[in-house]
Order: sequence, then structure tokens, then C-alpha cells
Amino acid sequence: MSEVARQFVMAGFKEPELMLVAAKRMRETVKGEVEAYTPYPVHGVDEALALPKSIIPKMVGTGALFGVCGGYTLLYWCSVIAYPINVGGRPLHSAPAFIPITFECGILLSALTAFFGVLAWMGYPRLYHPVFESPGFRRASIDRFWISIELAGDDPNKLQAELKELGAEETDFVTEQLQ
Amino acid sequence: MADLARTISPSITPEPLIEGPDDDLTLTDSVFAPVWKPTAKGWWFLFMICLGGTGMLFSAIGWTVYKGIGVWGNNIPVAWAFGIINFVWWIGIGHAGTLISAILLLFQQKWRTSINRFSEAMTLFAVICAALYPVVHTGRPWFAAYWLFPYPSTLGIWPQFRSPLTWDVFAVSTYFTTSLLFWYLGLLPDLAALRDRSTGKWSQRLYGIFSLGWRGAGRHWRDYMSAYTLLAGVATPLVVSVHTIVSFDFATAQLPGWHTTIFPPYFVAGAVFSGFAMVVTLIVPAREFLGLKNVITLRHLEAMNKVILATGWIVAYGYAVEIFNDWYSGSRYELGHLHEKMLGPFAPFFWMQMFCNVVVPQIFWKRSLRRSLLVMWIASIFVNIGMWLERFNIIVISLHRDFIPGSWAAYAPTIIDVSLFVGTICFFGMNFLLFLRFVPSVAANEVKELAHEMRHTHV
Amino acid sequence: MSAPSQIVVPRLPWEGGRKQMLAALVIGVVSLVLWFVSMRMTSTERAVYSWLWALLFWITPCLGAIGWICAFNAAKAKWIILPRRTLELIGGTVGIFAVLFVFVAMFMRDIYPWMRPEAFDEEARRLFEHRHKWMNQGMWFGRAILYFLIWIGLAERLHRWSLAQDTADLPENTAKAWTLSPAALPFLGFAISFAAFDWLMSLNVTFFSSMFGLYVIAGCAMSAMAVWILVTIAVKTPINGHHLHSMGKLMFAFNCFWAYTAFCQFMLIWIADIPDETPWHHMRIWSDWRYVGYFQIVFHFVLPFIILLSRGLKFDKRKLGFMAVWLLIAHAVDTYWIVMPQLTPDGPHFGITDLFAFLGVGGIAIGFFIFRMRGKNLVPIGDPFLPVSLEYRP
Repeated sequence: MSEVARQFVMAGFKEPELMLVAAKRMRETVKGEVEAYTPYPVHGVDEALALPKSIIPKMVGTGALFGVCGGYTLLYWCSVIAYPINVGGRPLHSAPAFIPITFECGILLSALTAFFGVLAWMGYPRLYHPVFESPGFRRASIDRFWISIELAGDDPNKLQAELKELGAEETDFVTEQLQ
Repeated sequence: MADLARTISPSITPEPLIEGPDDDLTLTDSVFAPVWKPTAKGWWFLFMICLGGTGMLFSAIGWTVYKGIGVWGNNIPVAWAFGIINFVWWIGIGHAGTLISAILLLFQQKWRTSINRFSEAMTLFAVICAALYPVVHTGRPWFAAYWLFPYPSTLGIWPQFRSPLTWDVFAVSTYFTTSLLFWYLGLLPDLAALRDRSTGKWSQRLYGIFSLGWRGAGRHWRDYMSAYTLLAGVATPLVVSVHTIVSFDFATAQLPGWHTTIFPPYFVAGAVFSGFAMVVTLIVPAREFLGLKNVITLRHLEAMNKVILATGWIVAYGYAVEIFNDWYSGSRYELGHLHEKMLGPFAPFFWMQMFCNVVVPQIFWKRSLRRSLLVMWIASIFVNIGMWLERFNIIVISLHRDFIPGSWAAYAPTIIDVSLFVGTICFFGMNFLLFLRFVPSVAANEVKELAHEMRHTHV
Repeated sequence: MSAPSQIVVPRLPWEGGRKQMLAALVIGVVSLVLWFVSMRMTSTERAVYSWLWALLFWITPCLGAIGWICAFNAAKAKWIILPRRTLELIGGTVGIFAVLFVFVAMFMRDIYPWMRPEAFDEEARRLFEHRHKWMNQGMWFGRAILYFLIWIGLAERLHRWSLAQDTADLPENTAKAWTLSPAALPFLGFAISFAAFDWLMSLNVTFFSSMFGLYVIAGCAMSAMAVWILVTIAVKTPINGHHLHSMGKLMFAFNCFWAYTAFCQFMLIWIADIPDETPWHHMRIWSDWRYVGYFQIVFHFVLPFIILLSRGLKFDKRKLGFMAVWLLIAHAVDTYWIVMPQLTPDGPHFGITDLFAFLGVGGIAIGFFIFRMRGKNLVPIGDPFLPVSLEYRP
């Protein structure tokens, strides 16, 4: 693997509002990618980071479509082609009787796509990430609101000073640990 | 805004959903406290009882498998009895969990936040208990997989998909899978918080692994919330479909007492009804012992009691419309069934069911009774009993006297039946105790989000 | 939250719709007359069937609206307050149907088979005698009066409490409505269900289905939401996108619920195949009515389901309004499918009486509805929670 250790400037805020302002400013002024870390979803992060719409609904819709079509095909194939047997005089191709399982297959495939799709899309599981190098980041899941800026030619000291000015409680500079 | 309304009329202003500490650290720690505290003696006591019951459950299953299902009390004409009664009862209990976590999320009901984790766990354990019955009822559970699923066996035989029993297999397995994924996805941020709050090396590592390395990035929250809402979106029709399909097990038959078209929605409402009752039964003591009174407030309990009242009325509507149609049909078999139900040998069970499910919930019209812990706890137990009796009556009363008087027979469960039933209750309890011990039973990240929102609307 | 709202709430009573009201009334009355004429040209039976269908189509949104108000009040929903007044008035239109219902009552002998037992065979006669204690003219009339009393009483009571808040400071009326509504819901549910049994299910001698009442209720709830969306857009209530989105979601959800009740009822009767129950669906499947059934599967459920899944669409007034019209057309087909096969079992024969009945009932109902809207605030400006509704942003 081509291994270049990534470097991040990080800042922790006590209030989400301050973090949002800082994130927006950083996104507009620095070259590297800006990311926010919050203990719960905070309203306004999408705007501050200018995130595009999530792709997940499309993913799940596709999953549902596959589930519905696959489910009905399975039922049709089993009951009409592979093992045609008369039960209670019902027609081999009993559409009303096939709807419940078709529906369940649609749901199952949507749920599996939603869960595994979102994890894969977000890149989990990934137990190590450079932001964990900062000791204060342990509160990012509890009660602090962090942002990170991946360094791409900016001066880390200047960035840290700027973040302090924007109201950061603490700032940090971390380097990825390569195995 | 809240102040404005309060000055106008105190009687129409809701009380806050979270009381007490409102900075995020204290809130997190109060929610996680039951996980950190050393194991209490009471916990061990209950755990041992449940462990014993679980032993009994597995002995009963072992004996059933060894001797065959003849050791159960069901026989022709009552070919279905305890197995399916308890299956339906447990599935119904599971449904309240999904309702609280998914449907209330879609309806933007903020009060769900403190109780959703708790009820999702309840769903999972209840569905496991439920699924045990049909699997054991096959007699040879190790064959169940290829009898039930479309598995390409060398015999070239495929399941009979025009039967509701195979629909059940798909419904229940989909339900379990989806509930598990939904629960685990909801748990991720809290597992990360547990990782970051724990001090022991092993707990850090374990929670770290189970949190999959969650770091709460903004990009992730966007996709995460999208997936979580979508899972809630699919869980909602799913929960309706599962109990609908359970009701199809009965309603597709031609048996009076089973075949009536109102069954699907009335089963769904009944499931929610009994499930909410079970949540109240469990949560009233649990919030006392776990010290979660500030996040699970009287307002939550009151809201649940209102849901019990509302779904109780839907169930009552089902009873009334079913009885009316039995009579209106003019079919002598339907009329015969009606007579057996109300005046036959099992009639006391029927009237007990009416008392528990129709009369008892009416006490919740009164606000003070909705808010009394003792009253709601007792009422919820009545509803649990009533809903168990409902399934008993549907199954046993309808079957024990069917079309031909020559085949009429009484029904009584055997000791194995009872051990299986008590055993699943203990098994459920054991799982639940383990959950309370090792996993935060309240979703910390959602409570913090709600607290954040409340701070901002009060300012 | 204390920041002044961007939305301008109209404080003055609404005085629009004069032309529309007059046009609707003229169309209604003329069609009513033509319907009478067409009755002489075809047959009384045919004309009364048409009238029953038209009545069913137009009354269902009103009944649904009463149900929605009660349900919203029971849940103490505050977001609906801004557009609520029109919903109250849709429910309030039920009063005119008590008058229009007279034609069904007058000619009930022509459509209800249990009024003509002399034409029965032996089995039908047994059923007739079995049900006679319940299904006889006196009881039927008595129940119809009871249903209308419940509907009108409830709609008017809630509407007047709300109206009184416009001119006086009466926050306690909100509390009263929150108390009455949940208690009224069971009565409302039973009244609609048993009206469906009395007026629709009993058109067929043998048919019985315990789901039937809920099937009609599902149609009420869906069509009420569709009409409410259209009225809200038409009178330009200053709602925001989230209000519209939530209303669209409820219309979508109850359209799914309609499909659910329709499917369960059909599938259970189809799969059990018990001779007593099957004729009702039988005549709708083994005749040209099946194409109406296919139409409903595609245009009442599948396509609207797929289209309404879109989140963006539900924020758009024009698009959501289009879907509401679509679903109301589908609802008209559904109600036609409920009523008419009993008259023409071989297939649908849409006739001139259908058109006159539809326009007659619809014109008079719409005219009455606009008449009641005029001179009133179309936003409940005195509701203590109106500010909460203005800020609605889930």
C-alpha cells in the first residue's frame, strides 16, 4: 500500500453553534477536507460542510426492487415450474397467495441494503482513524463538537490559532500512525 | 412559546420529557450508570431464577424432541394449542417494540426517545421466544430449514407457497433480521460513547470493536440518519405485515371463529395492545431499579397508557364487528361457534378476556389513574393475561367443537406445555437482564439530541 | 422561537368563492332535476343506485374529515392548526347529506333486496328471516338518523368551539376539544362501519365481511386528506412545505391502508372459498368488472404508491394537488365498484343517470361547503397553539 501519513488539524468546541460557524469558515478558506464530529446529529452540519444529498435512499430503493422481483420469481418458479402440485384446488400461479412473501422479500432486501449499504458507504468497520490520536477527541462522542481539517498545504499553527479565535476550547495537530 | 401557552391555560401544556440534569456529560453518565455499576445482588437473584427457568425450557425442548410432540397436550381436534398461542402472544409483544421505535419515529413523537432502545431489545427477545415454538412443533427441528425455506434439496421438493404457514416463515425471519439490524444500527453511536467513557482496557476494546470504530463524522451522520429513517420506514409496514400474516394462519381457514376478514387489522392492533402492556409491565419496575426516572418520566408512561386505551378500542371494535358478522351471516356454523364461545365450556375464558381487554383499559380515561404506577402496572398485567386468553380462545374454542359433533373433545395442556411457556418467560427475562447489564437501555445520543432541542426551544 | 414569523396570517374573514359557489349550486340543482328526468327515462332502480354511488363518493371525505379532526385532537397534534378550519368545514358539509340521503330512503325499496322478500328463494328467505330483527325498515331508518346525529353533532360541536376562539379569548375550548375528540372516536368508527353495513353491504343478500366497515373507513380517511389538500391549496392557506409534506404523507399512508384492507378482504374470501361469501367478489371478477379491478390495482395503488414515495413531490403544491385529484378519481372508481356491480353484474355501464347524480350531489355539496366557508376566518386565529403550527418544522 502506498502509505503517506495523513495529518489533521483538529479543534473541539463546547457548543455546536460555534463549531458550525468554524466548520463553515474552514471549508471556505482552507484547501483540505473539513469534517465535523458530533455526539448526535446536529442540525446545520450538512449546510456548513456543503454535503450533497445522501445516496442511501436510491440504494435502498434498488434493493427493494430486487427483493420484490426476485421474491415473486422465486415463488413462481417453485410453484409453477419446479414443483407443480395441486393444493386445495388453488391455481398453480396463485397471485393473491404470492403477495405476502413477495412483500416480505422486498422488505428484507431493503433492510439488508440499508444496513450493509450504509456501513460500506461510510467505510465501517474501521477501528483506527487518525482523529482518535487526539486525547480530547474521546469526548466527541459524549459532549464536545469537533472538527478536523486534513492538511493540504495549509500552515497547521496558523490554522490552530484561527480556530482558537473562532471559539475552540482546545485544538490539536495529529499525524496518522502507520503500521 | 411554551411560556405563552402556559400562561394561557395550564391544563393544555405538556410537562418536559426529560427532567433533571441537562448537561450532556451528566446525562450520558446517568444513562450509562447501570452498565458501570457493580452487579447488584438483586440482579444475580433474578438472573439465577431466569437461568433455572431457561434450563427447564431446554429440558422440555429436549424431552419433546426425544419423545416426539405427542408429549404436548394438543391432539385432534385441538391440533394447535399452546405452541401457537404462545407463538402469537410473543410475536405480539415484540410488535410494540417496533411500533415505539419505528412508527413513533416516523410520526415525530419525541416521547419515544427514552424508551425505544428498551423496547427494541424486548422485540428481539420476544421474537426469539416466539420462533422457538413453530420450530420445535415441527418435531424434528434440524429438518425445519429445508421444510420451511426454499432450499434446493436433492428430493426436488419445494415449500408449498400457497399456505400461510410458509408466509409466516418469511415474515418472522424478515422481522427478526430487520429488528436486529435496526437495533444494532441505533446502538452504534452509544457503543462508541461507551468505548470513550470506559476505563478498563478490555471494555474499551470490546465496545470499540462492537462500535465498528464509529467516530460521528458529519458525513456519516447524514448517511446514518438516512439509513436509520429508511429502516424505520420499512419496519413500519413490516410490523403490520407480520401480524397480518400471523392472522392469515387462522383467517384463511374455513373454520368458524378463524375465518373472518377483520382478523388482519384486529390482530395488528391486538399485538400493539399487548406489546405496550408488556412494556409497561417491564418498564415500571426497571426505571425504579435502574435510576432512569429522569429520562423515563410519568409522561412517557401516560402516553403508553393512552396507546393501550386506543388500541384497546380497536380490539374492542374487532370483537364487536366479528360477533355482529357471525350473527349477521346466518350461517349455522358461525352461530354455533358464537354460542360455544359465549356459553360453552370455555365461556369463562371468553368473558375473562372481555373483562381484561375491553373493561380494564377504560380506567385509563382518567388522568390520575393513567399516572398511577401501581394502577397501570396491575392493569398492564390484566391486559397481558387478557391477550393471552384471546389467543387461547381463538384457537381452542374454535377447534374443540368443530363441524362434526362426533369429533368434539376437550383440551388441557400437559406439564411440558406449561414448562415450555414458563421457560420462555424465563428465557426472555434472562436475555433482558443481560441486556440491562451490558448495554445502555436508553439511547444516550438521542436523549442528548432531544435535550439539546429542548434547551433551544425554551430559550 | 420568539422571532416574528415570516408568515402573514389573514386576519379578515374569507369572502372569495362567490362565483364558484353559485356555479356549483346551479350545476347541482340543474343536475338534480335532470337526474329526476333521467329516472323516468331509465328505471328508478338504476337512478337510485347512481344516487347512492354519488352520495357515497361525496360523503366519504366529509366523514373522513370528522375522523381526522378527532384523531388529531386525540393526539394533541398542533401542526394541523393553521390549515384546520377548512378540515372542520369539510366535515361540517355532512349536514347537507342528511337532506340528499332522503332520495335513498324514499326509494329504498327499489335497491335493497331485503325490502322485497317475496322475490327470494328459500335460502335467501331463511337469511332474511334470521336478520329481520336487525335489518328491517324501521331499524334501518332509526340507525340512519342516529348516524347522522353523531356525524353532524360532532362536526358542528368541534367547529363551533374552534370558531368561538376567533372572536373571544377561549383557550379552554382547545382543552374541551381535546377531551371530547378521543371519546367520540369509537362512536364515529362504529357509526361509519354500521352505515357501510346498512347502506352498502346489505345491497347483496348473502354477502357479509367484518372488514367491510374498515374498508370504507380507509377510503374516507384517504379521500378526506386528498380533499383537504386541494381545499388548502385553493384557498391559499399560508402553510409551509412541511405542513403539505405531512398531509401528503397521511394521504399516502391511508391510500396504502386502503389497499391493505382491500387486499386482505379479497384474499381471505378468495382463499377460503366459502359459498356464502364469494358472490360479492365473484361478480366483480368473472365479468367485465374485472377491468375496473385491474384499474384500481394499478391506478389506485401501485402507481400512486411509487409516485408518492418521492419526498420532494410532497413539498410541491402543484404536484401534490395533482396526486390528490388522481386519488379522488380513483376513489370515485372504487366507490362505483362497491355499489354498481349489484345493479349490472355483467360489467360497468356508465350512464347518464350516473353523471347527473354525481354532479347533482357534488354540486350541491360543494356549493353548501363554499357557502359555509364564506364570511369565516379560514385560519383559526384564536387557537392558543397557532404560533406552534406556524413554526412547524419537524
